[in-house]
Amino acid sequence: MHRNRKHLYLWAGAAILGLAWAGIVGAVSNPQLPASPTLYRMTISALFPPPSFPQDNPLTEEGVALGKKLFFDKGLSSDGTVSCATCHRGNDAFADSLHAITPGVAGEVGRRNAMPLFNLAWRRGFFWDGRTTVIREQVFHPITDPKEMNQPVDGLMNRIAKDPGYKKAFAAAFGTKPITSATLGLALEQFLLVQISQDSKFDRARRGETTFTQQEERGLELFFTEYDPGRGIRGADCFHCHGNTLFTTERFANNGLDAGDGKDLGRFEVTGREYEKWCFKIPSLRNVELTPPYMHDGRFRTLEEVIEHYDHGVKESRTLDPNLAKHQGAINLSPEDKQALIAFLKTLTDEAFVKRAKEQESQAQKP
Amino acid sequence: MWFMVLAPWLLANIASAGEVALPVRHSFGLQQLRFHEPLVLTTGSLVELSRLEYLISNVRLVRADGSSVTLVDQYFHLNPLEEKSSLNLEKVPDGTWHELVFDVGVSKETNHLDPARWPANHALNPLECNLHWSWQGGYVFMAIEGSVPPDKGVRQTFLYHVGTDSNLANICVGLPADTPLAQTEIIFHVDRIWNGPSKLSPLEGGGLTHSAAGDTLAPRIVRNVQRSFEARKRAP
Repeated sequence: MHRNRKHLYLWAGAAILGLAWAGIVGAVSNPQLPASPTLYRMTISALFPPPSFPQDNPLTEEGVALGKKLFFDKGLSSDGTVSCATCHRGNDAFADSLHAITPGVAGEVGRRNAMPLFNLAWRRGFFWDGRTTVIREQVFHPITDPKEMNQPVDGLMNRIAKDPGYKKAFAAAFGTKPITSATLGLALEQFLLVQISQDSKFDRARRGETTFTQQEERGLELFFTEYDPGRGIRGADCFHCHGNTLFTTERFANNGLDAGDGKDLGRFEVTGREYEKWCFKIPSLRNVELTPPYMHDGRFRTLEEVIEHYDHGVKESRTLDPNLAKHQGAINLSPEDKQALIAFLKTLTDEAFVKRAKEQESQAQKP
Repeated sequence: MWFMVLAPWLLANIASAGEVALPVRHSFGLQQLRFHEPLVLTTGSLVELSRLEYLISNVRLVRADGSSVTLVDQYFHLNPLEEKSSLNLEKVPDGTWHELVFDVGVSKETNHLDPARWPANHALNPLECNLHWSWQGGYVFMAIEGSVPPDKGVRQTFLYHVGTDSNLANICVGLPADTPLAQTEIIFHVDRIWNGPSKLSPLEGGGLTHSAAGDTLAPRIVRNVQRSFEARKRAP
């Protein structure tokens, strides 16, 4: 791999700056902090670009703990059967490997696959269509969606405000400020922002702590190489959309699932731009092994099916991404190369992250 | 009393001292550039652009006597589709300027720095510009993507990803006389990508270049891009 450098920096320093800022600005308008908050400490890989943490929501142990309590609480749904973690399971890198579309309250089914939740500080839009860009706002979409948690905000806040456990947790996180939907959103935002996946075999290899097998190396080569047979170059061209350290460009693309006849219009439903019809968020491929089924509608159960799609199943339509359109239908990878690509994709699995996610889940389920 | 009247004016001007927003207008022939719509080249060929993104750096302002000021560490990501079409220059000294010189792309040194060093909204942050080429290091200096409208039902795409150190395009444009920089605009004649010193068809070289070693299309595009910019006095 390219670099042996191992350099992690503490986010705490930036968090301190954030707190100082909050102290100055918030003293006048909106403190939202207890008297003695505990800074949330975490390390971020130097291989990642600097994250964009919201300056008006400094990360604290108390805020993250409250966010965790909320995330795993089925009481956030109208009938007490669905929590955020129902669709975003710790075991699946906070995706749902059990369903193409996760049922919500009373078995109601929406239309899109639950996206995994990690590295959200780098995310530039949430949901498959990017309809929100701020986590504290995003969290209310599933809570209030009739086909997910179906919980009106007023009813939710009435319930939370009466709960002694929540009263204590909100006081610890936000001091004397009243319990509101705004502080609830901030707490969930804090919990989600600290879910960082950065220690896969790929990362360890880049730090020089392990090496790839020959098959994984071949997969990496295919992943990061163009498909340009006219010049004798026959890569798999994955990097155009998934090429940086986060394995997503954070943009939207039509990846040829349908021939211009898909009922779900994707990003177009948000922007109204014709050229964004059937375009969906390009997801990160980190932990992709753990997050089946794949695509916005969960149509592919396995990585093999996904590779087959990109190999020879891409359908032409007027908004198809040019990087796929140039393949003109097929790239015809050999069976060995397909397996090599999958072997490389599995190096993006972060076992430590999943272990942590499962621990959080079991801690939250304790009475 | 006079101070109270002048104070708002003084504060506004002190705050913006040295900052000049230089808009870049993207034209196509005599028209404004449009994406996802057929555009006619002088050869009669039709193209539809879906992406035009590029990096500008190493901006230098030259006086009539040849002396100049380089705006160090100022990088710009331009993406007219998303209305990112301005060079927001900082630390511009007062003066009368004769020429504007800049690079489309970044210097060799910058090109090979660790991309993880750039803050979230910096032009060179890979998530901000989407122009970093992790597979061979360095940046795509200019990405031009689109298609030729269907002939017999088959859409043919072109993708020009111009990068690598040797394809840095140095641009020099004369500035309009008697016009403050703040009243100037840059015009990028996008059609000249195909219609410059090198005459190119949209599907030249299979419509693909990734600027790999030995590729001849990328240097020809660079030569055309070098003749594609001009500066004019902004319309009132």
